[in-house]
Amino acid sequence: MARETVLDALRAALAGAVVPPLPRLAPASAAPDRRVLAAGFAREAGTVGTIVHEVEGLGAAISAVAAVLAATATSPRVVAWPTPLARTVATAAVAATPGASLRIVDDAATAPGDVADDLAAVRAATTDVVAAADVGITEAEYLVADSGTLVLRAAGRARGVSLLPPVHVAVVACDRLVADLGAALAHLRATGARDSCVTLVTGPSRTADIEKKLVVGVHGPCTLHVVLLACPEA
Amino acid sequence: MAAPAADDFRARAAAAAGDAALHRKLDLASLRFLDKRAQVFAALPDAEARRDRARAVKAHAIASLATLLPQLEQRFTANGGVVHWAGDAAEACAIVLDIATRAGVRLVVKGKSMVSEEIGLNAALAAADVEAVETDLGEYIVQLAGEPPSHIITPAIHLSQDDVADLFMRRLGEPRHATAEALTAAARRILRTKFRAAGMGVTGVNFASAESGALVVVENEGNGRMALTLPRIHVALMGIEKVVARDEDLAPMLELLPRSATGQSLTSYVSLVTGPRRPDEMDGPDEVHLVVLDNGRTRLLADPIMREALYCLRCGACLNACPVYRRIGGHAYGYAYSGPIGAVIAPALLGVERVADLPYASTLCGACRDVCPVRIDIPHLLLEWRARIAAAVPRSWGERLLVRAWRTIAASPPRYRVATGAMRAASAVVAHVPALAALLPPLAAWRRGRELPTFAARPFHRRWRERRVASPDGA
Repeated sequence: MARETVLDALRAALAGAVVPPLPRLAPASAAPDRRVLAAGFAREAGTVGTIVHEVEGLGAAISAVAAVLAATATSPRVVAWPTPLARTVATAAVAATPGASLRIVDDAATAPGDVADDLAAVRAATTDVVAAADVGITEAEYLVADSGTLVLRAAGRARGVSLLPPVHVAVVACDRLVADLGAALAHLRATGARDSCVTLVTGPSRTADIEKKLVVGVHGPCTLHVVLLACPEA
Repeated sequence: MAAPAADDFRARAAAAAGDAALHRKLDLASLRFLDKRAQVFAALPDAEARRDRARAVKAHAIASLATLLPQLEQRFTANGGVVHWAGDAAEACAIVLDIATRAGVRLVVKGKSMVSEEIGLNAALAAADVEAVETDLGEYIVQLAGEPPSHIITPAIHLSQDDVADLFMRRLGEPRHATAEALTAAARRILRTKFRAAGMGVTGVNFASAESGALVVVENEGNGRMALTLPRIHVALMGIEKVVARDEDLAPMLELLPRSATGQSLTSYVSLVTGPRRPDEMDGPDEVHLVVLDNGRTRLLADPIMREALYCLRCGACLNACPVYRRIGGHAYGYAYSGPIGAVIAPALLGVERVADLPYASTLCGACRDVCPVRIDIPHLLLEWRARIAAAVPRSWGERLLVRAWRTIAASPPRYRVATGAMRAASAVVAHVPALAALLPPLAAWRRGRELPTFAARPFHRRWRERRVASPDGA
């Protein structure tokens, strides 16, 4: 079997090899003030073309998202995650936008009792709805300040909402800000997350494959908005 | 991929070296990458310490592969994935084809994967009537052109926007698009239908964590996310060298790969895949397969000197930095991995006798080592290949005589002065009568692409001595 052949070759190749120690990783920097992290996130996200809306309170978040919807299409079709903040903001923003329609992509697709064929059909239909949407609204698990990155989970959600529509809006509260990627991954591990996929998003989809010309919006969203709810003053 | 005959390299390199249009395209991309790389490294606190740490992570992982890979297999399987082992390219292709055939897959969408180029997966799938579509824009372009990629990071570096517009007209029936935006939009529209229709997505793997069984896929376009999200089956192709011990080792690697490759702090998308979709998830593949590929890598591993070539992150920085790559391009190397690192690993993966010219495709200037995020000493490894190649060939009496004469001369300052004095006189004569150079065949061949250097009127050591006499403190 190939497995034993490869493993035998590995063991033979490494016979007598000294394993150098694992490096000690950089100590986690003391978590700076949230406003410092928010400013860092806004700066880094801005350099990669993410549009950051720092807002005070839920009402302002809803207004910001409604403005994005109105600017995107005349009757925008919206899909959103069923997570509490995304659901609340999406529902209110769509209600405030004339002609807008909303589909919360929740676990109706995996209702108990579905037989396998039905499940596949339901899932394909769900992906059809997501792919036809103008705007996808999600909620970031963490925001990484030093790279302007969103950390998105998959549990209980459809990954396609942050991928298929041309406009992606992520809403997030400022208590989700972390200093760097190492901190975000450590937090995620500590929660015991068992998602099939965790996605780091840093700006809109981009390419420079033709003569190094930067083109935004290749396969994923052309526009990425982050609506960051400010923390109350300490 | 059909491995090239050794002689082909010289012919391809010579042709490319005279292609001024190619040089402009290579410089445009490579120098911009290098420039952005320099900027982000300058802005990164403790950049040098981070490179040391990343190298240490890889050094530990490579020396521990025999335990880390079974651990990765165990974790990945526990997460619901399936692990396959492939000794060589044919086995890897057979595994992927078998997964496709059993599931009745007719269309495969591919994220960017150098391993898939290495094993010639597209040809293997096509032979079984399974269509494989490249979905990274650059890979899609070179697939339409019927060419292999010419750069690890930017595969269509050798084609101009006009070339691409012509290609889209000819192969896709598109109108002639006048901008990179319009060409990209056309590719987005066409490939969207492929993503939705495909039964299988194939991607590469940039890193894997033995601790959690997570596979990391790094990209900018979103095609990788599509390929590992939408089709019912996701197959990830991974060389044995990609695994690291711990989840916490991923962050230091992710800090350096995009910075070295494209000068980004982080790419637009990084996916950490731990298995098939869970029951509460509304999309994602039902099956996730990991193909672990050797294909000659254990030969590198068994070689204590060459082993560090397995630390390579495939960032492509050494290609951009290499003055030889920037004049001959990736195709000249005739292999999926080009540039300085390609010249190091191709002899091990393909057999040194088949690509014996590649280790000479370097000026040994060291620019590759300077930009390597994990400090692989590429010039040293190239020299080592040269030494091995030379040792395997009996030297001619002429060459042995020449080396002995040089040793005799160089070992003694008076003899050295006399010999260089004679050469200075001879070079003055040759400079006035260039036809003389043609009389000595090796010199004539050498002169074909070079100017004969002129000797200084007075040798350096004499000027140095005079200078010391003039200012005794040596200032």
